[in-house]
Amino acid sequence: MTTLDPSPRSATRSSSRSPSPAGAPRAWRTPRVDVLESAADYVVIADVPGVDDGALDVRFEDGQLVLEAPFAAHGAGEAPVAGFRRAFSVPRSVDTQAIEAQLVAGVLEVRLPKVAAAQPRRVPVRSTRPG
Amino acid sequence: MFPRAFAHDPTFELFDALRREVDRFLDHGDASPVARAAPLSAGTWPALAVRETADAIVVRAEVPGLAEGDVVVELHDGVLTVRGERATPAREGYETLRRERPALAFERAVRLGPHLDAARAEATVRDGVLEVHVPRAAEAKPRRIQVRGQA
Repeated sequence: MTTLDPSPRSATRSSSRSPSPAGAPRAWRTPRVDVLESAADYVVIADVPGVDDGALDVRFEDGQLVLEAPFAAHGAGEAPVAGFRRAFSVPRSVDTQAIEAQLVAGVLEVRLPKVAAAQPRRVPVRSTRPG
Repeated sequence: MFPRAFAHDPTFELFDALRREVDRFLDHGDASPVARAAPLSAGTWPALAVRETADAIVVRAEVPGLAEGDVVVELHDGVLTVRGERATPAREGYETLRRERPALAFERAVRLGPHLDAARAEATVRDGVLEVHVPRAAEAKPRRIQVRGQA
């Protein structure tokens, strides 16, 4: 299994549902994502057009990164869809306290830094002076 | 799953060209714009939605990541065209584990129909959604005609 795989409960595209506060099921769309990895972090980039940062919910829950991006009031249209939602399994190497997210022009970018122990560490090489 | 959906299919292109011809033949101009809003181009990005109000036709396109200068909107002979490019550049030092957001050049056209006031059309982009507002021409709006009895 690759790291940061989408978890099964969000695997079905455009048909995942979760209860709304009122109890009635609301449909969520599955956003398209890119997932990148460097030595220091993972980056998840999701297309969430029509979402502003007001109601954006990015959380770490039960070992999963959950992105929940309800449509902004001005962009909701008449669609019976609440917004975008997708969950990912998070590798142990991620420092879950340090996850950060930013939203620009309908693109959500979440950065998941790796814990220091998981990052490659350069060992300084010192030369000893003769004498 | 995604690569298959976006794969180039010449059959679709053929049907699309055929439909375009049929559209041209059937271009009466009095049918509902929404019923006639089938896209003329073969691309599927960006997703488009067309709705009618009493005064205007409103087209919404999902263009995540695009800002003002990245998209061109044209209205010609009742056909609205949206085109531009979206880049999703590679980042140095990063390896791609999953890629569902393609970099692409796009062009989509939607026939909105006649009797539109192109000069007053407006387009805005906000939160990655492009909204084009095309007012109806004055003569296209329903007008109530007073019925008078002959006294």
